Amino acid sequence: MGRLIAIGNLRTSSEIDDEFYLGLPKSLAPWDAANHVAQFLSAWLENTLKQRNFDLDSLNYVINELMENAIKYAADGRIELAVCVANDALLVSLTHPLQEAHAKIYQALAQQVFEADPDLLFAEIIERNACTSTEVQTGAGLGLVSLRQNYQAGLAFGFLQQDNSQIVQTTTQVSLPWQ
Amino acid sequence: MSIKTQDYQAHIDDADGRLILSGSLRLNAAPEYQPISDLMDAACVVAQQRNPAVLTLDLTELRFLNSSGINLLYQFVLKVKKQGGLGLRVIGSNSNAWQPKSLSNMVKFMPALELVMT
Repeated sequence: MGRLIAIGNLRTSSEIDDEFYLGLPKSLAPWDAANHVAQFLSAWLENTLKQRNFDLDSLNYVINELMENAIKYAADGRIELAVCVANDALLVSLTHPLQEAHAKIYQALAQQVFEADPDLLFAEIIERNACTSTEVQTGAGLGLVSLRQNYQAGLAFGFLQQDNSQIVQTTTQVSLPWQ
Repeated sequence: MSIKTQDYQAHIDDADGRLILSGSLRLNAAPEYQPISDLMDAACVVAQQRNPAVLTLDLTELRFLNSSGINLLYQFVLKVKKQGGLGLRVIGSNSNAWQPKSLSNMVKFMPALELVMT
């Protein structure tokens, strides 16, 4: 049995009809995989999204951001990306394993990003980074905040931990409303 | 002074001292952006010797910037503001979808900053 903690309106597979899945092991995900995946999916969905007057560059940024975070922080295991063309929005979900300790940190960050005023949180992160050395500056949260701030994205998060496991399957779900 | 890679280029224009960033910037976190940050500092030194002392940051050909790069830009704006004595003009392009979204907040961090979107 596992325990799922959800932040926001996390849509699960049972609620979604059609999804495009792409999965790869962390061990085969170099840094530029984020760019390649973002470019591939944007090209794959180009016709569908153009019919809805949807900005492809926005999808490219979202996928790149989620993939970069996964490549940076995921524990060994699979990085899985799902894109769904739903009635009300384009849903982009990325799931990857995290060590329990890292998952707790991310869960706290996710809660903050979900609840805070995005403009205020963006400023707070920038100001906080200004007071730290380059080596320890982290963009943690900045990318997620920018999705809310600049792309009117809805965010939801899921944290699934199986009993007796120190690994938490973490899902970040971005909902991009149709214009 | 310049940095040129397969993905991006950063250089200080010899004619007018503007700092031009072009291409696609997706570096992994702040330490990897340090060479560009150093170039930005060098551009400030060049601009301070000009009259008026204004640094132009030309982003019109910067097609993509990840969140770590956005952090770099905003850290630079804060640095210029804190140091004082130097004006900052940022030129962006509406044809790069990320720019109208991500650059508009700069004036909140530095009200004297001039943002020009072409």
